[in-house]
Amino acid sequence: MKKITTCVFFSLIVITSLSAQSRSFQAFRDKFSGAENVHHFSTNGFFARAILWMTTADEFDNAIKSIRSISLMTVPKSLFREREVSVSGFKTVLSDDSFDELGRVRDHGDHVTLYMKTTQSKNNRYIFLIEEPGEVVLIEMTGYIDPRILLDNSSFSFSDKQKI
Amino acid sequence: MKKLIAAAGLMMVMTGAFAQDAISKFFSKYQTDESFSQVVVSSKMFGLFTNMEAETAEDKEVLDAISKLKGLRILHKEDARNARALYKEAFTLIPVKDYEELMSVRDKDKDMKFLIKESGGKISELLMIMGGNEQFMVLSLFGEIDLKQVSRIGKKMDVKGLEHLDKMDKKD
Repeated sequence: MKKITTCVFFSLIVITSLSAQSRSFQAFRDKFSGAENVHHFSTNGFFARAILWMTTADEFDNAIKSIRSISLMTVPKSLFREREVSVSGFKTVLSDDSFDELGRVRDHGDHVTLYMKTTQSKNNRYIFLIEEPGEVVLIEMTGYIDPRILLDNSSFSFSDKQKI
Repeated sequence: MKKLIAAAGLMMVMTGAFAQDAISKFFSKYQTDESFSQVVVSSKMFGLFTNMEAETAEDKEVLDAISKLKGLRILHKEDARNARALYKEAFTLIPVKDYEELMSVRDKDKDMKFLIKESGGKISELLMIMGGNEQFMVLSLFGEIDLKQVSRIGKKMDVKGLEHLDKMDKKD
């Protein structure tokens, strides 16, 4: 009985996490899932907030209270060439999926672009597309992030420490 | 005649689009140069600040000012031996005659110029060009700009250099 309960519990987590993903994220996942050196992680609710709480600075505490789900996927750049797809092609997918670009930063070889899709009140979708020299990282969050946090503390911060 | 008017209209639209931010030429010239850092913030981001609640009246003024911005572009190079040359180049590539000089700052290791574009009594673009011994930066902020709030916006976004505008406000 314990096994069944555990299976149902984790299946529910997986199903709700997957359903929390946008069409764009699903397309990205379907393209690369299962390949070597591709890592995928997805969770929601309390787990998502707990992970963000553990991995971010104190000033983000308020911002992450309204995050409902988080999905992350890392893909080696070589796989893009192998599958004959490109990051700019994926940006078109995002645009077709009604994601708007909030901003982008290029710094020391890393390219970070932040997208947002407004669905309902305070239930937005945020996508961080991070292009590093060797891999591409895609992070999707659903919920609400205070715009002041996005502007104050994200990669769009320009202090000397951040080299801009 | 209709074609001529349509062509003139198209020309005006295109000129407006290209004149939207003066550092487009810099962006196109250095967009593939990885030694430059670039930041672009879209109008969508600034639009998120529309009708946001604020704790104080001062915060409300800043949020309102942010919500009226249409974009921000920054091009920055650090550890640049040619920073002074880039500073000079900026004044050749940017159509400076379209701007009015607001303020210039010179200290021992850098020069800064603040330029504005005004139309209909409103400031539509603020340009900051900075060239130092090792650093170069061009910043273009466009939209409806409230100069009194720019230094506060700079603090909020942690954009170095804009705090100089605060001094100008105090002089007034």
